[in-house]
Amino acid sequence: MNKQSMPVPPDENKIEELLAKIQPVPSKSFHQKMKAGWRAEGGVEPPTRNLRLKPAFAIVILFAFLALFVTPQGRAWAQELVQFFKRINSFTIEMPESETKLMESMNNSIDLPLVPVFVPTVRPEMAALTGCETPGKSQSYHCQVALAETQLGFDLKEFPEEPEGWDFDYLSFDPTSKRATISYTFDQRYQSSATFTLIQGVGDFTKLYSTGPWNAVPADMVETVKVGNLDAEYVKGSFSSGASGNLVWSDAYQHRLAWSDGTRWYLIEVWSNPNPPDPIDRAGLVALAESLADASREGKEAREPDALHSISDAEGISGMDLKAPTLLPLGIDFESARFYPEKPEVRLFYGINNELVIHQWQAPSPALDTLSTPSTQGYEIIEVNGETAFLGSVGGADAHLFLWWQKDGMSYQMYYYQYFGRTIEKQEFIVIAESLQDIDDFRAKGPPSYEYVSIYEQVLGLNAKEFPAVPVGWSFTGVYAGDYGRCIILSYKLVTEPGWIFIDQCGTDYSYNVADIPPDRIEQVQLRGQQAIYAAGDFVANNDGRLTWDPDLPGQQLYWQEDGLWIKVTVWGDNTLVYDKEDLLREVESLR
Amino acid sequence: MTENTTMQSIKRWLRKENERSIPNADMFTRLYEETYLFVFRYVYGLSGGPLQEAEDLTAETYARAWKTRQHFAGDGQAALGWLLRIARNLAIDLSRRRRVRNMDENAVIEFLIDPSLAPEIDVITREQIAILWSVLGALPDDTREMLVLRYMLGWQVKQVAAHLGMSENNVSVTIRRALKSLQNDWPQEKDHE
Repeated sequence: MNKQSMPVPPDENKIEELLAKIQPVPSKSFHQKMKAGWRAEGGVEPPTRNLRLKPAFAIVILFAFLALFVTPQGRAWAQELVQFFKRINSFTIEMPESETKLMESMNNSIDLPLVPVFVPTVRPEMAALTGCETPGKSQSYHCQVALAETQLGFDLKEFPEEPEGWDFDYLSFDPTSKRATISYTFDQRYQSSATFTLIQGVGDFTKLYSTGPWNAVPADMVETVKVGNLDAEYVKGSFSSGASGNLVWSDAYQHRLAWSDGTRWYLIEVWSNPNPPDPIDRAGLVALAESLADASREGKEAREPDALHSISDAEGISGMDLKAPTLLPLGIDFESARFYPEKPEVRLFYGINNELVIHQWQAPSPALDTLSTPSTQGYEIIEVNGETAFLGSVGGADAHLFLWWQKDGMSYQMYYYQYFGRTIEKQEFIVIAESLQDIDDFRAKGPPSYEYVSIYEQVLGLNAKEFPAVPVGWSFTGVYAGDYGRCIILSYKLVTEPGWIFIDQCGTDYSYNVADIPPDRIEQVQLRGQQAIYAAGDFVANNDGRLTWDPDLPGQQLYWQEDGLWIKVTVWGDNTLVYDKEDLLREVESLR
Repeated sequence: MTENTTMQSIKRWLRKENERSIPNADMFTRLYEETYLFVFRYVYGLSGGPLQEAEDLTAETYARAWKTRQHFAGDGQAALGWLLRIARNLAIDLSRRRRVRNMDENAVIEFLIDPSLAPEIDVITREQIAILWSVLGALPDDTREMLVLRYMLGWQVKQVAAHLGMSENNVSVTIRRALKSLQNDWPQEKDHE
């Protein structure tokens, strides 16, 4: 036995030191057990989860719509008769760098600048229709259908009644490619982003339904069904972005049904969302498709208190004198209003994810001016146009700003929820509140007018290039401001044929995705005294899910840098109708 | 609307806000990742081990926290305090079941120290930690909890006092006495084969 004497008992300082060294660590298997525990317990996710999904859905829908309507990648692929969907033999698809970059950009935090509100006016061709003269009326289903039929030159097929649980959202159409889209959203009280879209058009479906990666379908997932006695294809599921940077097939979220009656093609797309889960199934979709009729839907033009499309409609139904902001965060525009007769109260919703919500109700007596600063952390008493207001700033996963004030017998509460890092400062939030005035804003599914080019230039700090005059044969269709990449996007459309030009001008390399293009397809050209890149064609998803560049697709792209701007010009359309390379370069030289 | 009713409305709104901030699975996962080591060490120190039992108690703490999350509101520090209170109740229940609380005499020194720091800790210190672990068991539960919070979790005295609802002075004095007690209980000699 080797008997060793230990040192004398340590002093208190040493014992403190030893105690601090006792730092046990759990075993490696511990974490797995832990997480499985509450995830299994948890079962149903709380509503916050769904609210957080909503922006993602909106963005995915946006992509799908862009792919569907903007990119005429519609090369007629070799197909058998009655094959509507592009089939591939893979459950994953490569995603181009540009789209990966776009998805990743949503992780960035952006402080949105404030922009004067664009209050749309009723288009002259709409105002010429009986009963469609005012902003509120012009947004009705009846007026939207009437305008589309007038411009398209044919009667739309319609549902005899609004599909149960769905509210009419908007109608868009394109006279040159002869197609129209009627869109519904699921009952807005459910805070769902579920959408239901009926698209119909004349001509070749395959030319208009993109071959792009978002719309492809694994061959095994296409089901052949009947709509009446017509052959149709049904698909449940869609490709969506996966963690690996690829698109990954998921059985959730989307239903598609496509068919043709020989003269016109139809596509119904339903984007569901976990809240509520899957509002429709295959049989329901087929039944709806079979109910489509030529006759226009009668009646039911009464204002829906849950889905009001203008401030004047909300005033009409509530009897209140409502105020609306004249300054809004970039990209956050009026979406809808809702009347709660039992309170009574009106809420105005702004932004595709309802980022900004303004509650208004009659409050008969003064109250907030007697308040002192509440003790609760994160809240303070401030002034809005000289009136005492209660301001809250809530952090965490559901981060938002809150403001409550009263004026002239009305009480106002305003919320701003910061989804995807799109933030505003407290001071800007107060400025929005102070900008409330009597304006008749209404939901316009279109970009603001040309004068917004200079407004966006100012708020984004850019000096954008513009054509001195709209090119002959083209019409200006809109200006968009992109918050993530600090971009101004001008768009033009051919007047008589399908064809588009988009000019992206950014303060960052957000749209500058030349790395996507195969080097052997890149041409170096001289443009405006700069070295520029020209490429003709576009990507297509191969049978194995890989993207390849198809030079025969009717797309052209030009990239260059000038005066601190990253500029990309995209042209879509048959180059016998739009521009060939030389004409395009000549036209772009004229930008000022 | 009077001031009183306005304040009531604000309180109702604040309550609604609190309901909105009930943690969902993602938030709870983040809370777990930020706090599990503290909770585990607290449980280990309070219960005396063994490791498996401390892990089970920690797991049970989070399971109970998940079930009752709607009753919790507050920031990160408050969340940790809430978890520790759940853990404490579980450790007390365990102690009652065991009747006599003993530190895990068989605790392997490697379980008591952070493996990432292990190479820096010399042999004598290891021996001392093992002895300290065994004499800790002689302390009353409340006193040991203070030492665990103060040293194993690294809290300041004022944080310990706030968590336990005691005065800082009271905590300081108790900790000093506990350190003295540990010194007194320290074995003078130990045989080593």
